Amino acid sequence: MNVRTVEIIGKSEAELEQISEEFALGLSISEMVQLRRYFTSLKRNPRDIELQAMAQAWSEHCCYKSSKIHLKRYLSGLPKKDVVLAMEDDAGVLRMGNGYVYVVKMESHNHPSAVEPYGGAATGVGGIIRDILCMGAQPVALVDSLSFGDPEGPKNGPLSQRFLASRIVAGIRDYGNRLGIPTVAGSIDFDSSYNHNPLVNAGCVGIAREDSIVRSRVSDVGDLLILAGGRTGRDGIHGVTFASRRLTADQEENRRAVQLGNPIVEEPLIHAILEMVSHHLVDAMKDLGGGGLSSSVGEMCYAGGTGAIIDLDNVILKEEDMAPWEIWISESQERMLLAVKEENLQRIREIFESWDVEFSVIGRVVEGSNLRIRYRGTEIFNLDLPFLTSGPVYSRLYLLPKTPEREEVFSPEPENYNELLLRALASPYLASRAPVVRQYDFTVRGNTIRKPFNGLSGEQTHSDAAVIKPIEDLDIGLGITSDSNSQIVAADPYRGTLHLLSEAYRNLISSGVRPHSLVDCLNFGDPEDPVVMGQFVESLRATGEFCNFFNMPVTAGNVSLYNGSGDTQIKPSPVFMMIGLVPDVKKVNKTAFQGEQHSIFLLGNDSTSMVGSIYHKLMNVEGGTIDDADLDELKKLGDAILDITHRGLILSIHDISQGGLVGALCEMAFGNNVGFHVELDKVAGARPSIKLFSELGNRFIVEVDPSREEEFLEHFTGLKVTRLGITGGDRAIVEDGSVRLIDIGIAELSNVWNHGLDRII
Amino acid sequence: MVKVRIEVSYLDGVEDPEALTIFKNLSSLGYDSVKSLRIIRSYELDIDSPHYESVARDIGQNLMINPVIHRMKIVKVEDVE
Repeated sequence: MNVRTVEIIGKSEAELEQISEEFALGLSISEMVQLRRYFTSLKRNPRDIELQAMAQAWSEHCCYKSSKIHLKRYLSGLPKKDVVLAMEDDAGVLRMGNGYVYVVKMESHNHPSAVEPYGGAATGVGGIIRDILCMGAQPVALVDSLSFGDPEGPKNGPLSQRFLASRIVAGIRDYGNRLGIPTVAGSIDFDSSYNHNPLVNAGCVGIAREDSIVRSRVSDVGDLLILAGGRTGRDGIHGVTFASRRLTADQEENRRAVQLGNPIVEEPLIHAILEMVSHHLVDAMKDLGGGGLSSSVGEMCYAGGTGAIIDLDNVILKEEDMAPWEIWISESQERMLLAVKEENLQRIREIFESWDVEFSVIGRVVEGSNLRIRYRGTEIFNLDLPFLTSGPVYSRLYLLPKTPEREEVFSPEPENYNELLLRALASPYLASRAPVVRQYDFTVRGNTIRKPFNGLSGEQTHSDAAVIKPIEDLDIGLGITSDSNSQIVAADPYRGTLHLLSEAYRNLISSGVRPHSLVDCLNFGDPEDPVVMGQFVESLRATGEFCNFFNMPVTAGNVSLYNGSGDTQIKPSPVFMMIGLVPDVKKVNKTAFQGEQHSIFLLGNDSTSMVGSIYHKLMNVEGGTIDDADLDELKKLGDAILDITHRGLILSIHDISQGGLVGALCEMAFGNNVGFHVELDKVAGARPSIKLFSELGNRFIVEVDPSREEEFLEHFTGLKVTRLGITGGDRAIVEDGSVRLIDIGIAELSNVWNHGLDRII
Repeated sequence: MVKVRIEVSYLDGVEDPEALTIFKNLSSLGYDSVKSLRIIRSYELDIDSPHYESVARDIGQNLMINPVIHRMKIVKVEDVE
């Protein structure tokens, strides 16, 4: 019958280790010993399917065993403003007014993308969409934060860095575009620490009525469990145990975890499920991701305090000869688990059939806390869900990074600032993201108000955040941004994370959107390395502090550990997706200069810290310390900017981040091909390079109509405002004292900026 | 000069969603006699080098395939003027 009993009772630790290896369980000796103790108390040995289920449930990916203790400490007591569900179900749910909620989640798909970039990235998108769908929400927008290796770096196994980057982008493009869900925002980072482990973090936002939210837990005994969508196959077996350790060079082993994803199966599944939700036919729902049926059924019942009996023969298979354990833990894509009342089965059948979606009833919810599985007339699985699903918790050793003495690292001044600016704009760190973003359909569904680009057609520049109008008859808009910056987090995990969060906050503010909630996707190295754990803990501490300060809930998240290869760990890479609300989508800001002879102001205190800047990268300088993040200033600036946005005082605005002051000015100039003439005398910094290229601090550049300057300035009393100069002409002119640092045509600058990624994507 | 064809197909066991969709649609159009369908992408290159095969192999390996999911076949089509 293809079910083996595995003898673990009475086995030595060495033998247990061997068993864990033989069955590819990925469990440690102490975890195997716990299993031995459990089955000894049951007075029987486990079957292979039970062992495999334990391995899924106890993997880092599923039970967060290394991170749980810290997540609880720093994120559990956060504000709950407008929260319907935070950190409870498969996605976060927040009120946005008039009975509507938005549903949001972000997840990593790093390990699969390292092995098969196209399929890994595509299924990452497919998975995050199902996380939103399983809450009963219509997915309306996607975001992707990507971290690629050094474009000139060595191959990752057989794959060149260029192949990895372009195929990851292709995977995201094909899945999102084919489903008709716009990809509206994201970020791209390059660093050699990702050479063998690129990061693919996909986020999704959905919309629902608050009263039609479906939970990921089932408490109604007697409900039927339905598996719908794609068939179950051998693909993706051991995906989670694979994601819970470092990548190996073993291609054969890696292949089993690879899937390409099939959006043509997911698309009708979305329609069918939303139709059922609108008729209130679904009691609980969960998507099948890591751990397959094993995780979904277990977690759904455990959370609801029920048990279940499953008939494994009823699962529709791709291949007939699958062993029960393979069926149970397969991670085949495009599948959803539904709990429904028996009396609704007929209507559910009609809806699935009308959308040509395959489904089968695979079991029933029962009283108690045991999960039992029948296969060909025999019970082959009987485990206690609290034991199976709760998983071990580790308090791993961590080493907090020392706070270094304040240190300025000075780099040589360049001989020619024009040349340096051209190099910076052409570098992959700063170059236009158009070659990537233009592959994504970002307007499908017709709701995207502030697109990823703005300005004249053919000349466009980056927007700070996307704004969508998800509800037909309401003017409410959702602002969406997603940011990462491993350079500053690596330099100082605590301060760097605060700056990164401030950057996400500024992106929304400059778009005219009030920040509302946060989703984190925490990508770090090996948690068994105390330095990595230290980075993780410090980054979380900063996240908790930031959210408490701004009264902002963290509603969902994901932790991805073991990112690295061999002895290399990735730089600590938290990715933050921040969502904001704007009451009227007609009042959002642009980043492109709107006309000639307008005043240019700089808002916010200057930072002279150059750590992690593009300037340091181009000059090959390392080291230095990061200034404290000034959250108080950020809050005041943010409130004032939103106020004047509402009053229509802002012609264009852009926050200063990568590329510094001059990088931001150039991006504003590119949109409508409007030049600028600015004077840096009053900008802090001992050297021109600092004034031009410093990236930190809460700074915004604003274009204002000269006739409304007074009104504008009134709103910033007590805050630092620096007059920089005026817009106009077709050149970028920057002077400091009597020295003309930069004088170069906008067309020349935008040309190198637009083609910077050409050789990579 | 030689006309060389690089054929890229999925390894056995890798599910090709595009081929599956076409196959499913064929059967709903009534072509019941079709029992399976594979998609094989082919690229034809005119290569002016006596080492055309290694040039083609190099291009294929670097730009076109991921050996975890793809196989590649190099075929000489004909000599061209």
